[in-house]
Amino acid sequence: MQRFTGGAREVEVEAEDFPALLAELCRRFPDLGEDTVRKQSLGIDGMLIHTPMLETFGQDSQLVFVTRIAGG
Amino acid sequence: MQSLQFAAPTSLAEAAALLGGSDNPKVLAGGTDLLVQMKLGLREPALVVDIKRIPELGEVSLGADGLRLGAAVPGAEVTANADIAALYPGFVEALGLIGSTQVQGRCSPGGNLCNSSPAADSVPAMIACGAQCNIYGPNGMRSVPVEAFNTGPGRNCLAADEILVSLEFPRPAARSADAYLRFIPRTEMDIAVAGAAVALTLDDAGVCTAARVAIGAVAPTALLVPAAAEALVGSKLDDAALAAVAEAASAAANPISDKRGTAEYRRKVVGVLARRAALIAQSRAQAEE
Amino acid sequence: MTSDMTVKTQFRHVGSRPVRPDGLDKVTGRARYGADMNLQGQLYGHIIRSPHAHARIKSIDFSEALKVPGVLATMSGADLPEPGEALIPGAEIEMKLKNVSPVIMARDKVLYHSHAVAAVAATSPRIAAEAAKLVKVEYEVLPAVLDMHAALAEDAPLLHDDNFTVGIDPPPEKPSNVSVQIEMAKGDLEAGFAAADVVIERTVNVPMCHQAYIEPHACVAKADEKGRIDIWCTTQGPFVVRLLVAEITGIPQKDIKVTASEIGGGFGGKTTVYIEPVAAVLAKKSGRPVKIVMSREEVFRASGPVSDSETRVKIGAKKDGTITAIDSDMIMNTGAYSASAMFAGVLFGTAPYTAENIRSKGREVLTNLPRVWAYRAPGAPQALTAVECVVSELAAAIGMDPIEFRLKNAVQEGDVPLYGMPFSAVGLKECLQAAKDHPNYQAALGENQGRGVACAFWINAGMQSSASIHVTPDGGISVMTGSPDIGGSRASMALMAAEVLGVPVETVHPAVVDTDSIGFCDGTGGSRTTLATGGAVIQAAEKLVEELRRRAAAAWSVSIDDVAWLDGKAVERCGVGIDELIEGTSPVKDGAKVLTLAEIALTAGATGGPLTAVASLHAHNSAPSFAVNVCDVEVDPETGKVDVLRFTCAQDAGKAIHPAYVEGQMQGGAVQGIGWALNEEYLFNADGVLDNAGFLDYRIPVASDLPMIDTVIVEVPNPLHPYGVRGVGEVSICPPMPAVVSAVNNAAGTLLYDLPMSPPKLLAAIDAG
Ligand SMILES: Cc1cc2nc3c(=O)[nH]c(=O)nc-3n(C[C@H](O)[C@H](O)[C@H](O)COP(=O)(O)OP(=O)(O)OC[C@H]3O[C@@H](n4cnc5c(N)ncnc54)[C@H](O)[C@@H]3O)c2cc1C
Repeated sequence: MQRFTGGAREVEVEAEDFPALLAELCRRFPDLGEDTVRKQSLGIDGMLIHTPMLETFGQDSQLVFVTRIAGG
Repeated sequence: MQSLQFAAPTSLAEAAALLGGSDNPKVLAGGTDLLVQMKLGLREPALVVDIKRIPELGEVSLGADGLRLGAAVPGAEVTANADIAALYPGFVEALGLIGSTQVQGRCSPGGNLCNSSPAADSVPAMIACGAQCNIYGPNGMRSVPVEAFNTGPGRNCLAADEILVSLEFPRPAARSADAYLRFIPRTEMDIAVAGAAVALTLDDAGVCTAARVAIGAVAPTALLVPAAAEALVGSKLDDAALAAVAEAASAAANPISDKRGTAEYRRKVVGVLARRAALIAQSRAQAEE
Repeated sequence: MTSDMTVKTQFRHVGSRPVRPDGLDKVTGRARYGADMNLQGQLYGHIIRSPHAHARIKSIDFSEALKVPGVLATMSGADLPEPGEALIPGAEIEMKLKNVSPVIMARDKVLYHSHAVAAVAATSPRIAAEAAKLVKVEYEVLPAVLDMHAALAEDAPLLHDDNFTVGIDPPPEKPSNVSVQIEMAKGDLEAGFAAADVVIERTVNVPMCHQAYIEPHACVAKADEKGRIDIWCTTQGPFVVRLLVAEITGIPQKDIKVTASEIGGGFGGKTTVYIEPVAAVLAKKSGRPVKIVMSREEVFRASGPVSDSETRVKIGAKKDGTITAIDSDMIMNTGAYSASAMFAGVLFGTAPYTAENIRSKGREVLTNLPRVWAYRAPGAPQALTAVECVVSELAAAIGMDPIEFRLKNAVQEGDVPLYGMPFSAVGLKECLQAAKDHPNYQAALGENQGRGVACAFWINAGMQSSASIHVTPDGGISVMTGSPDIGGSRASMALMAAEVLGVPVETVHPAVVDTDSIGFCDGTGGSRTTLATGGAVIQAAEKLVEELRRRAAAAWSVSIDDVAWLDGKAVERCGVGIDELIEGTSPVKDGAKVLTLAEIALTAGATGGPLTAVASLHAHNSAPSFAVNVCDVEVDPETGKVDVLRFTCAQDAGKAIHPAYVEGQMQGGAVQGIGWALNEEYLFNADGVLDNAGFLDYRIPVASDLPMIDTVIVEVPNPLHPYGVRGVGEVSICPPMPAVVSAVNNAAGTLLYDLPMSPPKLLAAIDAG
């Protein structure tokens, strides 16, 4: 994803839920594209969401995009 | 699609006639090689002749002259026989290495020899013991030493209508013993990457007076290595003699590189095995006192 | 699921070791595996496979084969829809259909030896095999690339002329055999190495291997007049089979039912399909059920083996043992289509360590070898082997005990690994301590003996699961899920249901049911089943308890709040506080009414109908696992043979629901890792033909090769799971390889990092001094 964020690794985003996050990221980084974001798993305060869609976030939630990994 | 005939004769003459009457016959002993090969499509015989009902093939007689062992006697019967194990511990341990408990109930020394795999475990041991092959054919019986039986991988001196009837082991002199070692990457269920058998006789003073050394899986057939035996005779198996045994075994080897090991590896390891087998045979012979 | 949930710590059933419910059927031979299923009038499918590693298919002619009496259907790639650029929706990770469908049947090109090109179905296996020989396939043979370095060469023949490496900026204009590349980094690598007192760099090769599940793939498919397809097969995920068969054949999922048989091992290898779509198409075309059973040889040649990898790792440390920098660069072989677990290797290889300066790079390389597939903790063993071997060398170089060295650098709660998600409570330090405290770690080593230590990480999955519970009129409990039981999970499901319901575990009958009979379940993989499907079982059982209380309340005409559920019984509270009602020691008031589960069940018809409960969830509460292995070996310096003398596994299970099967996972992983380190490898000849397509020359360890694998279960509860569970199935295969490699190198005085350490290779290394 960093390829599309001008190298930024961490960003502060104002968003209540995943749709808002998605919209905000795509607004800030036009090259990023929804698909790229949707392909990632999302860590929210220690919980790993495999396919995020409607998740809501708290005030200071720490969100991490993690490459989706298959198990065996 | 081909059809398959099966026969289980009860006499040598009948068996030889059946074999002679088919253009693609195959002898069946325990079937632990043959049936596997047929399932893999490597062999498609038209006639399978089961020889296990022929009395001579199942006979075991141990006497003053030595051992006559029916070619189709299953491994488990041999390894359970303490008298045979006392006289030919190396041969019995080699035969006992074949397969698993289940395979042991079927696999025969004759099958191990007649399958003519260079890696067959009991064959170097038979050679070290000086065993002879008794062969039945339309013209009666003939006999060849085990080391002359196989002529190449999957090839031997049997004509299509000949049957290996028994193996004849001379009775070892006092203070004699044999030993067999193979190398496999695992501990079981594997095919020898190299193997070595040593049979030797000691005198009162512990000096080796006679020896035979044979190696397996390192040439197209198992080989008798006279130079290795010469290195032992006259020695007390000191380091120099042992080094010479190893060197002679390695020198005699003519291995290939394949998925089971490189030629270089096999050549080296067969020497190590020959040396170690000699030491085991020696300690067994000494224990006979 | 919230982070302030409480994790249960007192259990009545969980943590005990009842005999597994499937055990008797398995040891008596009654259990029905994939190949045991037969249908009236079935045909037998036979797959025709490529004799070439790379060739264009010019034509396929079935005319002679069709003349054979008993041949009733044929198929080729032309019978499957063209994949185009479609993605498979709902797959565990993004999968392009064009990387999946041609594995089932090649289209214009075959890309590896034994690649499926056509199939016939006939009334007997023999007729099918004979007819297969008569199918004429014309090929134009193309040059093949049979290893990663050949594939990376500037002028290498291309597998796919439309493959442009993903992950390069700007995107390349020329196609290549690199499907994707990635680089992850944090900190300042140069400064990290500058601060180091010792820097060690090694290149570690891990060979292509196979999961070596004992049961080959097998299936039967049946089509009815309305086009509905029934499939019985051996799989880790019947819903995965339903999805993939639908995507590959174009038959909609709603028309497919999949029933999983008992499974004889999967290890990741049965999280996809090989023969099911073929059987479905042949069944549709012939109107007869079609059975396909892969031979052992076909499984080795044409299922999904496991990536080989080459990893260059450079690590720096200070004299006090602090790791200052880790630089890792991996290439991973994916075979003919992109499917490797390279990302996991890149992301997780450094996860055990707090090092601040890390760079990890990876490339996935296409070759004319079978398309790889998942194997326990896919991608992680290869990466961790490289890192851990170097870490062990570093510890030795600065004269520190290898466990102490790791303790000094081990991650704990709050630390942030390269993949970005901060750790919650994790048990790495506890595992290291447990390994250190084990008597095996004190055992004296003799001549030619050596010890190796390694630790490892795996992320573990959550994903979707469903469970449903029914109560029989006499109080028996049926627990149904859609998660095939590959490691004793039915025993765990029974334990968790018994725990919630307060009934003896013997009264719980757990079953794995077909895709029509239960809500969606992702496959049994990613170490997720006990956590996620178990979570659904817990939720369903809790709903059932609520329902049972409601029924008792109705019978007694009291409020449900006045009914407690205690030791498998509804108990009238009579004012006793809920906190005082403790299982096993319940202070039931004299005269309080009591109804057992069986009593409620018997009258269920009168109180509201049958007793059932269902739960479905998407588990977001998975947590990573760590494990530590210590291995002692003896090396025969004259033959290069390795004997494993002692082997110790410590692993964080969070909470072991059924400890015996947790130990089983640890031991199984250890054995597979030992095999991979010492003898297992795919050997291809110069034409790309696998030379050891059988268990004689593909050497998995036999029982007599192994010592007792000693286990220590560490339990640092997963704070997000009601019982504290973590996945245990995968991390167990990560540390054994590096532990064995370090032990062997220590014993033999070698620096051999070209696995497997088979006797010829090890002896050559010893002799080279
Ligand atoms: C799982 C397994 C493990 C094995 N492990 C080993 C091992 O560790 N070491 C080893 O050396 N071998 C091993 N083998 C191979 C095999 O078991 C042995 O070679 C065995 O001794 C063959 O004996 P058999 O009686 O089963 O022979 P069969 O299969 O019956 O016959 C083998 C061949 O000899 C011919 N033949 C047999 N008897 C006669 C006869 N009297 N006259 C003429 N021709 C005859 C047959 O026609 C056939 O060609 C293994 C096999 C299996 C299946």
